[in-house]
Amino acid sequence: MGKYISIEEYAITLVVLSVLVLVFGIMWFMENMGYSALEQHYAILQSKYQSLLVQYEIATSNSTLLQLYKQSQEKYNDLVSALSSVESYGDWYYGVPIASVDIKPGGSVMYPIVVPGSCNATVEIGVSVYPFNPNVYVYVATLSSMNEASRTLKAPTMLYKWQVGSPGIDEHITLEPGVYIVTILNPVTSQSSTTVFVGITTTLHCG
Amino acid sequence: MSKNTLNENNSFPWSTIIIGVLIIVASVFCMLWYGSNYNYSILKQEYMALQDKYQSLLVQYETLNSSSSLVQAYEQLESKYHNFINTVADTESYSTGFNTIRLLPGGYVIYPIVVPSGCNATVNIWVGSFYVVDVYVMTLSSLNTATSSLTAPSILHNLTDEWTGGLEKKITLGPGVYIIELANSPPSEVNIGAYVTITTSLQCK
Repeated sequence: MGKYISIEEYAITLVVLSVLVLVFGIMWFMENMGYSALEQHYAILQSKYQSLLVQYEIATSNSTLLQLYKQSQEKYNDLVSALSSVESYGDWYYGVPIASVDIKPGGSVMYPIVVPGSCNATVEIGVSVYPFNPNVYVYVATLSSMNEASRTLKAPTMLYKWQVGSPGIDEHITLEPGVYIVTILNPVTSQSSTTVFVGITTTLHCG
Repeated sequence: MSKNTLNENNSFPWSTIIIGVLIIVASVFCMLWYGSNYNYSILKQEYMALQDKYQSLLVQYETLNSSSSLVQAYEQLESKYHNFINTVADTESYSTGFNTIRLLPGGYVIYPIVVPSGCNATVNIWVGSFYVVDVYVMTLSSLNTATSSLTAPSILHNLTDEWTGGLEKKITLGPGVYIIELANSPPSEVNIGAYVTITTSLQCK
């Protein structure tokens, strides 16, 4: 027995199938065009990436420079710290000077502080005495003033002068570039030797 | 049999073949589209990934490249380091110039030399005078021990012994604090005029 299909049904089927063929054909074609375009963009980007990668590798080969820079910075900071450290005297224990020196009447000790040009120094000076001796003095003078005094056997011009007394002194001063002498003096008028506890902390601030 | 029907029993089945071909062509196009779409999606993913990598690399490169000024910064820092050493050395160099310093009998002058750790100092000492001037180099601790106990200090360099109508001496000092002292010591009873030049140079690691 034969199969029958109406002409209208046949025509509709043909149209539908043709439309499907057309639609899929166009979609494939468009997809293909899009793919080709993307492939071109990809190739361009890959080329740019490779080029950038080469430049980056050249640049990173110079990253030793960064290490050198850091080393140089560390070297400079270390030197400033080393100078501050060598110009710090005595010792502290919880803010109390503990390095001791016995000073006879007429005796003294001195501590030079060299402040290079382009630097300032903040200096903490802590001094206490035992047994109590009201005659002990601490003074800060410039080197030129000290030398002027010592060569002519006169008293120096003092920038700062403190009587230690009790419980001692804890002074903070700032010094400009130059050479300074911190002196602790037990005058000849003093009746006895005195144990002096000293802590001097110098911090250089360099531009 | 209706007039408007196709009877394919007695003739070649063109209509069936045409439909079949169209179905096959549609299916082929559909598969091609699907395949292309699949490939496009994969390529797009790869493209996006490559774009991300490129952007990331670009950022890193620009960061690194902006540090091309790092060369200048490094050179400036090295210059600053050496300038600092020279400045410290200059501060620890002393000169009376063309003027004499006049030392009374018993009078003295001192010149501190501070040598930071990691450095050595070369110190050129030149003293000119018609009279013998005592020139001593001491450590600060030795001097302080002496001045606090009113005893004679332990001398590191006694340059007076090398006096030959004047003094020119080069000494090397390690890290520490030193005092160079010029003294018009007893039994001298005359005022002594002296020219002094102390030139310090630091050699740091």
